[in-house]
Amino acid sequence: MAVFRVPQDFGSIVQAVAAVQSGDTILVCPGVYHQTVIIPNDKPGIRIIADSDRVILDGLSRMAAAFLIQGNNTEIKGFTIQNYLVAGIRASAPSGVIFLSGTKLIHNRIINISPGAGIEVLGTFATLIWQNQVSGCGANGINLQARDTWVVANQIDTNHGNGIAALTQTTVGNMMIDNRVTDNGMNGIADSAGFNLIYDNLISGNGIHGVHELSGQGPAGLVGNVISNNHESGIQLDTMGHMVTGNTISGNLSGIRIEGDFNTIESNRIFGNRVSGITIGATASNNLVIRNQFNQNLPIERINPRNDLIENCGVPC
Amino acid sequence: MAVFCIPGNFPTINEAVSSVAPGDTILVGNGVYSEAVAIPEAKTGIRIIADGEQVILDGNSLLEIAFNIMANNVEIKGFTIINYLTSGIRVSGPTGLIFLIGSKLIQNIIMNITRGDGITLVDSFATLIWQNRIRGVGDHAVNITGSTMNTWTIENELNGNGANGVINQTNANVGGTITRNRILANSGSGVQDNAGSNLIFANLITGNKLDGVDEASPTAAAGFGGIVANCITGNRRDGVRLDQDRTVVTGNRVLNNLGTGVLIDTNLNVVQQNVITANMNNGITLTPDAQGNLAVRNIITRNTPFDIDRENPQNDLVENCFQTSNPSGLYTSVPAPPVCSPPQNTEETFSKDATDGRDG
Repeated sequence: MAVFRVPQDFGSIVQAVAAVQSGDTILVCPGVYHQTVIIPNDKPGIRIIADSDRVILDGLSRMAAAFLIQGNNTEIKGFTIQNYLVAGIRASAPSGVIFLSGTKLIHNRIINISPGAGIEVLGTFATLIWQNQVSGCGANGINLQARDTWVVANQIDTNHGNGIAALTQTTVGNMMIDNRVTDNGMNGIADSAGFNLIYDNLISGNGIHGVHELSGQGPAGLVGNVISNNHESGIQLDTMGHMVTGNTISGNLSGIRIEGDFNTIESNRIFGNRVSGITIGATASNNLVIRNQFNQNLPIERINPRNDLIENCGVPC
Repeated sequence: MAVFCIPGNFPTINEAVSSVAPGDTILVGNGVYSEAVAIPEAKTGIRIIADGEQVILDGNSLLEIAFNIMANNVEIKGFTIINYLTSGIRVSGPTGLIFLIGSKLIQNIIMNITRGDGITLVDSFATLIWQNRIRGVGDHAVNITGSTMNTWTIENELNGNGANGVINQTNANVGGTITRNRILANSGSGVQDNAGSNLIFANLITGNKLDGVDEASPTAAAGFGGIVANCITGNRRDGVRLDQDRTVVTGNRVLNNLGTGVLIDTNLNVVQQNVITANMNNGITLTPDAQGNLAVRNIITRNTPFDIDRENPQNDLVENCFQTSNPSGLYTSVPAPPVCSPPQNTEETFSKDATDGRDG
């Protein structure tokens, strides 16, 4: 348990990580570092903290990743990470280990990772991703193949893929709260799992859907988001059992498009969408659309009558 | 797929439930209903929604549970639930089924559950508990137990209940979030987490009779909790108590608690950029058992008797702003002077509901 400084105590972050013990803290002074930092499995609990807002890791468009985390309970805080190829930060369980737990990625600024992703968490558990900016990456902003990830208060914009992607059917128990997910090339949030919570985000100007529940077994919660001006649907539901409530959905092609079953669309404000407020597809059944407010769009296009509409305001009877 | 009204189509909620098909909706008009409603496994995806502001389920202090949910994807919304014995709403997997998924409990008012919980979750998965008010129940406001995972407890008011505001009972109760709730004046702790791996974010947790947040470990919990951007004030014991390892505590305001602001009795926790002020039994205490913890860039002021009480030197203090310490003259272990600037973006991420507990 000790605190070291780069470059005073060690010339580089890599040298510091090689020298420190579990639980030690590395404070990194301002400067530009050209490094790929690997935190191995046998060094849990290392904290690597930028000691100003001008600590830059630059991969010179030829290094793979800035931080490759394989040790439990690692913290990476306050870095500007730019010009790497594969990932800005990747946390992944090493082979033979089921989960990597307790990674904390806080207040980093990750830009121009190309062709890769800003942040990737693979086989992780209880990861905090808080107050980062992830911009201009070639693939997705944040890739989740993990459980119990807390993606909170990040700005995720202008990435070429999805803003946030829950990649596999077992990517469950994740929370996306209070993020700004804007102007990404594909979906704002693409969820292949369900069982995830999407709460109080701003999801705007993305190239496909705002939120796409595209596969997986379970119900997601889409609550209290502002979803606007996405190129196709604000929310596209291809799977079942989702709860969509308290959202403000405007300026999309369709506000909500439902292709799955047993979804509940309740108490949302849906206005100014270009084709329809809500479209319920031909194969969708047992969905309930209740107590939504519609304005300045065709309210509800119901192709399959096996779906209920109750007390929606602005819908002509 | 159809919609039925009570009392128009059926006189009671129970009769409606027994008649409807999966996916049907039951709208319940204003009135007082003395019923214990059981929703069996076959009734997947039914919604029971109050159709008025005065839709009251009254157990008359005789009935056990207002809504006993044993089917997937059930919604219960808008009810006032009073005078039941064991639970206002209970969600449990029927025998032989591992998990019940997708319950939605929204905008209910639950009061006077005399010897039980407001909401009880047993073996449920992906449950949304949103904008409920739970007051004056005999036990926990929200009791999460069994194998329950991925519970989303959001924007509820949990006020004056007989035990904890929210409790995760077992070390399996992971992957949940407790976000933007007001958790006030409960007789236990505001939040007791026996699991870890849960996110506790942007809540107002005030005036509870035990701890504000207790990462407790009666069940060999793994740790790895997240306590982020909460306002934790005026609790009778500690603001945050860490009896599990590897919790991250950041962006919180921990003020005026009668015990310690942040009490650390375990290992490898990170306490970062919190404001810890005017607590009555130290700002941060690192007990003799605590090792490998890091306190970094906190503002720790006006705590008595000490801002930082480090009883075991095997813990690092980095760039904190504080005045008093035990042992005296504890300085940050790097030469940089502490800088008293507020943590970044604390205001921005703070709950819009959590303002009334702020200090000045």
